[in-house]
Amino acid sequence: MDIKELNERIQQESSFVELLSLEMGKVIVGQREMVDRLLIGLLANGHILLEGVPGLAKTLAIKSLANTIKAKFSRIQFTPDLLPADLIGTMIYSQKSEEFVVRKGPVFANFVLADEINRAPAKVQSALLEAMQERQVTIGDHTYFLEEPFLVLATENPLEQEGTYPLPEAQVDRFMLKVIIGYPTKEEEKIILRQNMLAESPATRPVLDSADIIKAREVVREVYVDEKIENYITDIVFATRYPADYKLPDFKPLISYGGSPRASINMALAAKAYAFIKRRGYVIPEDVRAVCTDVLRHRIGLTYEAEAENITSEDIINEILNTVEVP
Amino acid sequence: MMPGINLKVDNRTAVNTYGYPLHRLILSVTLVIITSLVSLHTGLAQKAIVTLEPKEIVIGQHAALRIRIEMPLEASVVYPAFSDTITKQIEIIRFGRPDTLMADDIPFVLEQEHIITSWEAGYHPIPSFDFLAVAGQDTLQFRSDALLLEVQTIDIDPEKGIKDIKAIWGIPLTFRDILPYLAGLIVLGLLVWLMIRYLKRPKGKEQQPTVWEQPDIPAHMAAFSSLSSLKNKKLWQAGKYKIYHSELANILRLYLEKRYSIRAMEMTTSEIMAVIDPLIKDPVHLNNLQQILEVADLVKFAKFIPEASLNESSMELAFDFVDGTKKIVTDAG
Repeated sequence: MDIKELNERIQQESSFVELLSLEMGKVIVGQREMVDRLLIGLLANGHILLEGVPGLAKTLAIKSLANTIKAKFSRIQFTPDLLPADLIGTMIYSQKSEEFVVRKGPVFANFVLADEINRAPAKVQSALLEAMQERQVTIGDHTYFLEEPFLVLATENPLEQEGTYPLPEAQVDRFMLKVIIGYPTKEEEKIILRQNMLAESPATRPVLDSADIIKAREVVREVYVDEKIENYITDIVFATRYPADYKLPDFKPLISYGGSPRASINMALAAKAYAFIKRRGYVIPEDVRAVCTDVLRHRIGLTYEAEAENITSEDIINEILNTVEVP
Repeated sequence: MMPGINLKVDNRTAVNTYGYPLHRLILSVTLVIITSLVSLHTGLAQKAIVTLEPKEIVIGQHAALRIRIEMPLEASVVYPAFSDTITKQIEIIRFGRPDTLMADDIPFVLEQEHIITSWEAGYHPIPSFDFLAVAGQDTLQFRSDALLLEVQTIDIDPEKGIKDIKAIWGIPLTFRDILPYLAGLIVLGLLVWLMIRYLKRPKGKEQQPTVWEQPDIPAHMAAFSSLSSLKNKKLWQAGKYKIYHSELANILRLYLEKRYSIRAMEMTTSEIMAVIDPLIKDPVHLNNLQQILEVADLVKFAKFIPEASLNESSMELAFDFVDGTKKIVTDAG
């Protein structure tokens, strides 16, 4: 593989990223990092979990992204009384044809916005997460494959909020990235204020179709990852599992479990997508560091000791990044 | 007369009235149940017959000493108590138990057999033994005849020559034999190890001698030395571009760590540039550093094969950067 050629190809293929970002920027003020992460998920074929207090434009961002792509979009508001059938669909009896017919649920879309996923009980969460993993849904005797691109963008309220069900570790691991949304800056908030005072709110227009996304995904897969970068990724993930081996013995009692191999895979894929967004045909350590926290934060189990000392998974990841030698 | 031991036969419980050891008890056991007491003087006479078989032995050979008591009536018989010798020259090897025998013509017979030997050649008399028979209120003492034991020495053939005493036979060592020594060695080794550990233990702060720390070589000197060494390796000339640029970048990152106390080894190129930007005033040096690190990143991560001039210029820029940013120490400090 010739990197020069690949670089040139990526320069051409990734031109839509700027267009997409501009469209998103019409509606979303600030939150550049969140928009980048949504693009990473889109390009690396990974589902994304967004967490933040209500009112931070999580839903708006996902809705806007879906609007910029000519693809089928559906939104599911998760509530405590939601049933799996409300999500995946069910068999209903047709009196006209005197037989059961399949009524597909909202999960049959290219972009699924699972709003406030942690407000639904575990059986509904599992139904969605199974669809995410297998990319297929079984209703009655028939199995239906979900159309590509299939991307679940879930939002989550912090667990301190009332009436929430925490996602099990095994299921949360299926999200490629978990992005924490923070408040906008004062300047950004002033722009948001002004935008919302206008008689007509700005809206995004479709600039891509789903075939473009599938094509872009193929190019992203070709982004070159050197062995040095592979070693860097595995060092970071191994440091979450065996911190003492990486000069971090103090972390041993704080981590109950470290990142899974899925963490390494997702980190490499996300780093490739990030390099693509930056219009590069190869991954550099900056790309790994840029996605590392979002890939790992929901994959590190903290002990009671860590919780008692108010140590978060982000603290651990930052220290690991400051300790593991960059190639 | 030798001291005797009384045995109460009716309840078969031996009472040692003289406090002798148990083996002596065996010598003096008597079994009798008195059914009718009549005068011992009436009827048959009592006898103590002592025989020796064989009467002639070689030194150390065993001989059987049999004692037979014949009584007209059942009575309690008191034997002489033997120690482990009969005389100074005659030893008792094994004591026999008294045995009651039934004979047609003799109402009551007791027999006992001891195994004796001697380790001294010559004629050794076995003295007569005194016995007591007790029946009711009557007591009668009677005696055996004395005997003579002939002990012969071993024949020596002077023609075969006189041989020395045989050495003590050795037996093969077993693990059990060496176990105590082995355990001792282990304990000794453990003690030595503990002593070494104790002597080599880290001394407390108060015990540390006050030694001024040797000043480290300046960062730029170390960097110059490493750069010269890398240059002499001629890595890129051998096609090892990746190693050459990786080492070059690492030398500069180490230099920055020492010179500016930043964790450059754990930083990416962009992070290093962001951190170093306010610390280096001259933009030329900043540009030089950025160029070196970016070329190195391209070579390391993007399979980039630089031109010979670029390889050389990276080295020259590295020397210039270190020279231009080195810490200048004046005499005034």
